[in-house]
Amino acid sequence: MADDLDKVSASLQKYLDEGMEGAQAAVQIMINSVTNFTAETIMGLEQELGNTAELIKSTTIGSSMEIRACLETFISAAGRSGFGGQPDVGLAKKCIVSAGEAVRDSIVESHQLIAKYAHNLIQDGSQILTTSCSSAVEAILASSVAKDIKVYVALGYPTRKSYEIVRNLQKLGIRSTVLPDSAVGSLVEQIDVVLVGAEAVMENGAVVNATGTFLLALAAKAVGKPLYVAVERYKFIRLYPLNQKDLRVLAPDSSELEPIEDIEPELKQSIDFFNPHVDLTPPEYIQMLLTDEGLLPPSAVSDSLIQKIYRNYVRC
Amino acid sequence: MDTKDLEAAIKALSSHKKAWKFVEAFSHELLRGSYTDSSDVANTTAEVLKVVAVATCMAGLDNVRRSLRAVGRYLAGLAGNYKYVIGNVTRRVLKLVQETFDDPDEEFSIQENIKEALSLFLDEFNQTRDTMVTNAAVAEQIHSAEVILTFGRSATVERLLLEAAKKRTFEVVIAENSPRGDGHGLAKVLASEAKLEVTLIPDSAIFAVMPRVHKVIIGGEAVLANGSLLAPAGTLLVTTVARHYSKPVVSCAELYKLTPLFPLSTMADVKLLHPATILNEEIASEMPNVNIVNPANDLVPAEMISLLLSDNGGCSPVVVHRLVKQLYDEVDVPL
Amino acid sequence: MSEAPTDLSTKSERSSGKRGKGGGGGGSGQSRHQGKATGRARVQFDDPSRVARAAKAQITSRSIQQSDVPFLQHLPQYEGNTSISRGSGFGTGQVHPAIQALGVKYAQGVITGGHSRCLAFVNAMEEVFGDFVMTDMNNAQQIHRESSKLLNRCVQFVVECRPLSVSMGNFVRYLKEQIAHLPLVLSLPEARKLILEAIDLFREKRLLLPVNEIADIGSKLIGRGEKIVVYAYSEVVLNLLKQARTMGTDFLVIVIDSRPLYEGRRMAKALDEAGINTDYGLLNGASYLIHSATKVILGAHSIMADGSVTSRIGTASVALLAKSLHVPILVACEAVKFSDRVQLDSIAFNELGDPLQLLPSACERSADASLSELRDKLPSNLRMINMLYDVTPAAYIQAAICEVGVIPTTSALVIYHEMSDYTTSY
Repeated sequence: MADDLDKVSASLQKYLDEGMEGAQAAVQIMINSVTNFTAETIMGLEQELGNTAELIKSTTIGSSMEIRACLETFISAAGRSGFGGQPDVGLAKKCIVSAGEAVRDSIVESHQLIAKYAHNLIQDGSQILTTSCSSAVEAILASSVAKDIKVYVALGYPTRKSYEIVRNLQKLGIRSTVLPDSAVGSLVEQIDVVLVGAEAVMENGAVVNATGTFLLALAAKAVGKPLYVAVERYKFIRLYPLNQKDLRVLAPDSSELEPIEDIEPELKQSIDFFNPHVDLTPPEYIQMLLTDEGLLPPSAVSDSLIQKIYRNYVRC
Repeated sequence: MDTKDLEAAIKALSSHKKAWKFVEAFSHELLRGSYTDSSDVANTTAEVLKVVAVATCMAGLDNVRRSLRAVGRYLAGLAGNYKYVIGNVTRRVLKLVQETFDDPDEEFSIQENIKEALSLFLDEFNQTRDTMVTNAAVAEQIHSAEVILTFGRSATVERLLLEAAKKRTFEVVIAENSPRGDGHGLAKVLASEAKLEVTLIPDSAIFAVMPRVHKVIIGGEAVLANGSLLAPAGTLLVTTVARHYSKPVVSCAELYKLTPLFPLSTMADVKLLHPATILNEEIASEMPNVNIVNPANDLVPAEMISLLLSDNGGCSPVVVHRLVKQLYDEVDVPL
Repeated sequence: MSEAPTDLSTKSERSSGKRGKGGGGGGSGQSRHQGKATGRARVQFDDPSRVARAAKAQITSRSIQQSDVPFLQHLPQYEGNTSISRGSGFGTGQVHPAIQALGVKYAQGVITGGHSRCLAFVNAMEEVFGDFVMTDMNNAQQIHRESSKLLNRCVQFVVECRPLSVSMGNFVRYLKEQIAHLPLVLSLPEARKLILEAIDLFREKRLLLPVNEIADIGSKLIGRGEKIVVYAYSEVVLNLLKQARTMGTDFLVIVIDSRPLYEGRRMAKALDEAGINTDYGLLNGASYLIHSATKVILGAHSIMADGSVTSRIGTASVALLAKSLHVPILVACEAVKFSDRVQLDSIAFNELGDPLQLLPSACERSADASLSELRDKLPSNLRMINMLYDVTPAAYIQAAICEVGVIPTTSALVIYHEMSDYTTSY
């Protein structure tokens, strides 16, 4: 078992090094596991899918909400492909692989689609505040280069992942202003929109994203600025946390985040840190979700999910 | 002043037989709970303190101050809901006594000076009740055909509504304030004496009926220095609902309710009452392990109150801290 | 709540005319539902012509009164239960005894609460159709006509005792659909069997099973050491809490109650008997009781199309206070109570109880009894209101727990539509 875990972990890392995104890599591993499947029964195939998903989830990279959501999408896409009804394992495998590839390709294309749908939301000369690094946000900003936009990036302490988006934007010729998260309150009245990405979207339309997002949402709400969340459809997940505490149960904090680096070790040992890596932004703070299936109000997320759930409920 | 000093001061005071008789008589009344109107409590407190001050002032400023504070604290301790009123009246009297000692009329003895000053104060104070309601700013707050919602029965609100009813007709919706149910009494008075259109509702219907209401008028036992109102339990529910429907909330309080203290926290000032008023023993015995909770008051934050009406007109609750500075000496704030 | 019988029949004509058999969830589903909703206006009791029509269709001899509260005149008024409890004034024989007995229990408040009322009604209808006989067997169409006439008559009687609850309305609609879709050629015993099966299926799938499923789902949401606020009495909520206790979770329940019904006492007693730590207080102490709570779980009479919740009056205040104190609010509600109606406030539609209930009862000794002496001669400018329900805006409610899972209340309509399709495709 530990062997398998190492193997999955290693191949995830390999794909990431090749420049894939986490979700793509996870889907690729799922596809591989189906292709390499040797047993004879469809039931076994189903088990194999579940096992691999569990393995991916238990790696460090795979434990994120994003990949959990992606795996859920993969499994339900596989279910819809109707592999269970196929006469033999070969055909069933084919069904899953083609469904899986569709998911993988949709991930690749999703950013461009999001940028396309969101295009009109960004006005000429807009001042945009974002945080952390999201490929979807990056795609929207890249498509707005000609609009003379001004980008502010909150640093996303302590991971400082935000520098990644700054770097990428710089390559596109967009100069960004970087600010510490603590300066958001001072800046927010002068910006036009807050635009962030998401790790996952919950059943009620709430958004889970890098810590600091909720703070941006609170600030935006206080001064009446819209908050848009650019997010791929595959990140919708069937979870329903009621508050931040619930979220921490669903997404336990990884211990590797070192919150404060410049202090003496003795002091570090004698203090406690509160250092969640994600936070929850409730739907009432969100103006709109910008997805690859179009623009959605947060409440639309649950409506479409629930229809499916109800039909499943009635069936069983 | 710690407990020991308090006891000593009370003991010293009991040698002034006449003054002590006044204090004792008042404290009995308080313990019996025979007051339903804070202005009676305030007036009696002022009278008792006058007697105490006159009796003890010969022994010097320190002595009279100590006696007044001791009596004030002693009475406040017995007074339940009225402890803020008694404390505030004590502070007013302390300030007056201090001023009289600082700047006495040299022609008369200090005792006569004190007597004079406090008599003037009492005359003015006795009129609070009338100035409060006749004050133009107060009557202006209710206009014709308005629907007013109030919670339970506050003597201050009752006087105000009765006064306004002389000038114009309007409707009153009364939430009964269970378990006391004193809203029933107010409903009876307003309907039969003032001939107003009165609708009595249970507390549970406040949310449902609020859209029909134009204005909420509430009373309370004290206005704290940050403008928040200490009022009967349930008042916070009324004001929260009013805020939901964006209805203005008017709180009425005579000046003697203005208290120079700040709330410790939202719930720290809440007292719990005996459970029997909400669940009699017979029913309670059917659920032996259930813990019955019967809070006495709510602290309504200043931002939920649109207007504070008192004897000298209307003001925003956020200026209370300034009024309080004018009314009392800083040194008297901790009694 | 109230479905006037005349409305029901017009609606069933519309729907039976329009609907084909089967057809579970197609693309045209939405428009069908919309067409249906417009046909169901409630009787407005300040409209003399509608009231006259309603009076004509009456079975019992209860008078139709108008409220003396100006803004409540459009509502059906409380009439007292005298005429019904005396058993006079309605042609006995015309309505099945089971329904008669039930009507009296509704009117006297012996059976209350959305769940119990609906269950009792379903059971009574089972008896009614178990005894279903026909005088004339010549025409096959006759079975349809006679059985829906029978149903209408029962509904009419029950409505006159007390307006239908939303779940009862949904049951009536379901049963009408079932009767309309009975195969054309049937013998009486066959028809009876099919109808009884349909009733039984509804009871199992829509009433009994959901309560257990909600208990399963909801009990997992209660963690160790939580403090849960509940209001008044709810069968569904009680079940959920008991289940959580059975699972070994240690938690505290805070029951908030209100005059004049004091249903929370029943809740507190049941919780106490189940060995659950319980605090009890009245609505005036709600802000104090809620400030230390970790969750609020409310029962519901109905969840409406816009996600707002009708429930025992006072619920909205509890939800509002909880919202202002940032305590998450859940509503436990079976899907059978979902409705496609909307209502902005609590006055547009409501049910009225006996206003004199507001006077203090014998066990409320400490309450102000100033009005008790005026009981029979209240001055005309003094009125009392005793409404039964209020409407909690959707924005206050974090989630609904129904048998399908934990959902935002705004999605209840999706389930309502799916459910209607499901019941017709049975």
